[in-house]
Amino acid sequence: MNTAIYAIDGGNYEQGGLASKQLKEMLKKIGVDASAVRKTMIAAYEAEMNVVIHARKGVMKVAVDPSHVDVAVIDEGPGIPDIDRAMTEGFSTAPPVARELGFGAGMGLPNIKRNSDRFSLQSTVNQGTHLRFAIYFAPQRTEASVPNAVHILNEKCRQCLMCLHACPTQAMRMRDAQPRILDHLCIDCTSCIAVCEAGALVLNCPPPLASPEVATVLVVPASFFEQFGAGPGPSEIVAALHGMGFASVRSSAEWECALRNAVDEYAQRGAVARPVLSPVCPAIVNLIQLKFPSLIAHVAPFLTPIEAAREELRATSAAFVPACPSQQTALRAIGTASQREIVDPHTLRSLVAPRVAGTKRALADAPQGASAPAFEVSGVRHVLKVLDAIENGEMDDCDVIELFACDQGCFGSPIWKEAPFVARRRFERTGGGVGANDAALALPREKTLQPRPGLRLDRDMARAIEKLAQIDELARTLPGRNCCVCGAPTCAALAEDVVAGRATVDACAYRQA
Amino acid sequence: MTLDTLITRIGARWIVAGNASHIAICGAYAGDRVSDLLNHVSEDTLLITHLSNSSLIRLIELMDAHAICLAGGVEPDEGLVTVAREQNASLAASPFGMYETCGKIYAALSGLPPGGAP
Repeated sequence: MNTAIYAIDGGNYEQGGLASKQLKEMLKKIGVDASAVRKTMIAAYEAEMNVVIHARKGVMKVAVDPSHVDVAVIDEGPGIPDIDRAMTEGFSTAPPVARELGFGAGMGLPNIKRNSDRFSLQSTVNQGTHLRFAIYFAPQRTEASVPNAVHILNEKCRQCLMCLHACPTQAMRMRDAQPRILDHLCIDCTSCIAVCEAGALVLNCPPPLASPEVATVLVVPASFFEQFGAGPGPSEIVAALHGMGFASVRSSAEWECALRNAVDEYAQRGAVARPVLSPVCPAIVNLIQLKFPSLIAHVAPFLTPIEAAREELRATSAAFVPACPSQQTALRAIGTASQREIVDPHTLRSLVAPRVAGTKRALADAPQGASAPAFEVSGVRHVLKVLDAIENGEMDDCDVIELFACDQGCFGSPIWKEAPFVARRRFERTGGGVGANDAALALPREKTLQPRPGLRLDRDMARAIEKLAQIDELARTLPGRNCCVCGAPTCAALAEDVVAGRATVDACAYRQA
Repeated sequence: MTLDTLITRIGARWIVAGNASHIAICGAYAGDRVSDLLNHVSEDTLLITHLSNSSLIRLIELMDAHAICLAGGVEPDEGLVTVAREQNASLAASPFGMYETCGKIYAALSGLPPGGAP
């Protein structure tokens, strides 16, 4: 990852565009293709000129890696009082001097959004504006792998085939006696990890621990606080982390609370579609994009809590502890323009455990602020049933639903040792107050969610229909035992693999020739 | 068509010629809003505008374009001329309005006679 920072001088139209020009030189040097450079330049120049027109001063922070460029434009200026209006084409608050020069047509922000693959905007009136966008160098294609964070340890696999049965999207395969994940189908839930008794499927996390000198803020999942048995509680864990040198420890519960409040308000002031689905679990958001694209409009337009935390702390040297692969992917999904580290939860747990050994939790005051969700569904099997029901229009009596891939929400992530129900109950009784402050923000999702084409058989609909017929025909010749011995989760999945060229029909041991 | 041939055909005059004889032009885009220009100007387009300020040079530079033609008898701002010289960009001025300028460019690039359709 290569990073750079360019200064932008507010009000200086003569120099306006210099930061973008420097960015262009950098992209050209590393050989980024022309169309990506072009999109980056449109967005960067608009963002830079916004600082020149509206702010006192600002910086453009750039991070480039082989897959994308991430640009943050941060200014000290008047801020944007109403972001929705600012995003409307034609709305502008630019002074006449800017308009005379051809700027201030009210197209800048929409133009940035249109030309970028990721876009976020945060602003505080009288303080300034944080604008961030990213552009992928290669367009993401149908079969292109979607990043996921489930790691396979081949040597540990006992070929029990449980993961094939468990995967809710049929993304698991057994090939050459080793588990394989079809990335375009994987939603980063934890179903396969949860059933793998051999420990061959794990959270893919980099081993080194961010040092407190580098990371001043540590963001910890609420569920982490309850992984130390009945003794120490959240307050003791926070104290131990302070003792390790982390100046500030924040709980993911802060962003979860902020999201809950924001989604409730969104539901009340007139949501597009009901019931409103809260984007609290990134894996469920993936699931909806993959298998229930018709329900995308039901998802409240906010970032998931982990994404909001990442965005809110982007200018800080923060480190994050993911609770599951989907959070890990959300953290990693895009490079950052600041120091951002991901901390392996197991490593952190092993470092904290000796520090809290023998402590007893202080009985906290009655938890405040930790509002309970109106309606929560957890566990991916249950979630699938609910999503089906919503798709069939059978859930009109619900306003807001929080869906989690893991049982009992993040307390049920299989990376944790404590029993989910127990951990959650302990947390709610004594730890609910941790993180129940108003500091965190729920951030709007500026780029609408797109359906993931993973399930589509072919980009061309006619060919897809043809393939569907072939699959049906082939599936009829298979025994229907869904035994997984061939390496596919069901007979129908094998038929699909054969038609897609991923397997041969000989793989079936029971087929009557 | 090379840029200098095109400028001669449409009856515009050079303010800064730059590398005009080496630049191939396949189309033009006319507009007065920076956001529109950003989206539509590329290496082989001639930018037609009423805007006359030095930011234009930075804009075409970022978008890999080389040439600007001011329309409607707009006189170039002094800063614009200076920066165009510095950056070796091509800057021309057409005495005709934007509509007519564009019409002449269209005719020239489509191989129509100067007077319009045959």
